[in-house]
Amino acid sequence: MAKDDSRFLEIEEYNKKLTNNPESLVFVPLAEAYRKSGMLDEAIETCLKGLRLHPTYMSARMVLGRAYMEKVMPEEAATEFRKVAAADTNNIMAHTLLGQLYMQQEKFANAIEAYQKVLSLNPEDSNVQQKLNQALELARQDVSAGKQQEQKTFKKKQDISKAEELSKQGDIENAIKIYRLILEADPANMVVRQRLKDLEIRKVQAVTRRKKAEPQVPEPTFFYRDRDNDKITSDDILSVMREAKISEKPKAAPKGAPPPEDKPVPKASAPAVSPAILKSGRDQAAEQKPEEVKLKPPASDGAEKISSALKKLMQTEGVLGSMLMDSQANVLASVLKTKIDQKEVAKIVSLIFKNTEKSVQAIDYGKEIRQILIAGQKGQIIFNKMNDRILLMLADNNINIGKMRLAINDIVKSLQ
Amino acid sequence: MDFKVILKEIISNVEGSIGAGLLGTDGIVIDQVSLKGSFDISDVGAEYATIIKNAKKASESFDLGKTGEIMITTEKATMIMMTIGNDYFVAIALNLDGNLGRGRLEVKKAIPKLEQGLT
Repeated sequence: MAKDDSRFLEIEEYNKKLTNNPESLVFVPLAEAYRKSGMLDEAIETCLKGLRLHPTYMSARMVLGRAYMEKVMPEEAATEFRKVAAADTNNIMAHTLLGQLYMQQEKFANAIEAYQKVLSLNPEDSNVQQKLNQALELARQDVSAGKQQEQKTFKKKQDISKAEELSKQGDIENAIKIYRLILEADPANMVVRQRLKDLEIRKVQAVTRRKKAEPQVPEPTFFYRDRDNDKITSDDILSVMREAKISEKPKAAPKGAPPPEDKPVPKASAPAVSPAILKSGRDQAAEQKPEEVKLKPPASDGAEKISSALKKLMQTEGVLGSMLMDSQANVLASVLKTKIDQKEVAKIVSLIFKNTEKSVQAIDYGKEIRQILIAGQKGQIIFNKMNDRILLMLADNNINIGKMRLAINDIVKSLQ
Repeated sequence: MDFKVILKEIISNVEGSIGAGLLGTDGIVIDQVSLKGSFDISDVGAEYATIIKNAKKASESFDLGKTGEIMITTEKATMIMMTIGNDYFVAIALNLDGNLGRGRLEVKKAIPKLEQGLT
């Protein structure tokens, strides 16, 4: 009873706001409150009215779709969710609800597609995985839908087996070609994307090995590691950075040591590159040197400045890594383990930064983000905007947020 | 439980605060208080939810564990957001010269009380 009362009060409050400002976006929470109270007609009407003024407001379409769904109007609901999914391809909720609707309508092929999309966005979702399995099973029983899907899957499996065989035989080039073709037909296939990435890394490794003419190169830790379920292993970043941090203890590092000859030679003004983070084993610890700074400086005169700034950042207790990238997600400099898929990290950072900035602009709290700090249970990360570049700093929980901000602000000042 | 009272307590104890809100991760605003008219999140709850979603994605990608706190600074303001369980979060907006440390502390202090009302 009390809950109902509060819901009606809520509705009343939103209604008042909407009356005062009919162009307000408050129609969305109002419609949601109607929907939650079971007043589905009112919810639909409110959404439709609001959408006439704000046709691109996707949250409203989500509420409208849900209201249609609850009113058992699956076609109308699916239309709204499809519009959301088209406008925001990463909207997990829209794809999930579409999957649910298609299942109800026994459109199994469509449901499979929707659930696969959800899993490509969130491979950990066991609930959706279960639904996908169920859809696949039902599709098999459904002759028309099942046949089509199975044929596609069979062809894909054949291609994957062929690529795997080639890769085993060492024909990496052709295996890569096949994986690329599969990806062209099915860009959301994360398993194939992962395998392609692994092969590309192997290809680079092979070239490096040949160049170095070293028969035994220690296997580096990759950002993308082959796992039994072939899931994207981006969660390895932190552990890799930790390893880099452990191996960068500068105790025995001879100052001014010359750069090792077997490394990619940076520009003249770039810092010496240490092999320390590539090595493993305690016997090598004694010869470890300061952490590596990989540089692609935008201008040679700035290279030294960037290099020393990032190195300085690494000396701060708790800091695990840093990276400087431009707005196109190109890595300009980094203090990370060499074999990390930095491009992928940069892409993630750039995407998160852009999306967050868009939301902040919508909230009207500024046009440009200067800094984002995200603190988790195991570590924290800061993204700092510097003109058109982003400086990223990753830290564990041994450093407090105040010190982290201080450290990064210092570096930003020195770089600007 | 009157969430407004708790939110009011946060902003009245923090110098330079503009407003505070309690939201669901689905973007639906539960309650909000404001010292200035400019803080009205009822229209833009979904955007806050998107920020939280992005932060969670970043936490996942960088293996930071469960996202606890997000702080965003723009040329106009600083926003502090702290998660309450998996489904809710509290947000506070401050002027650039606002007392950030105090803001974080007050929000942290308020979380157990808000949590109590949400369960």
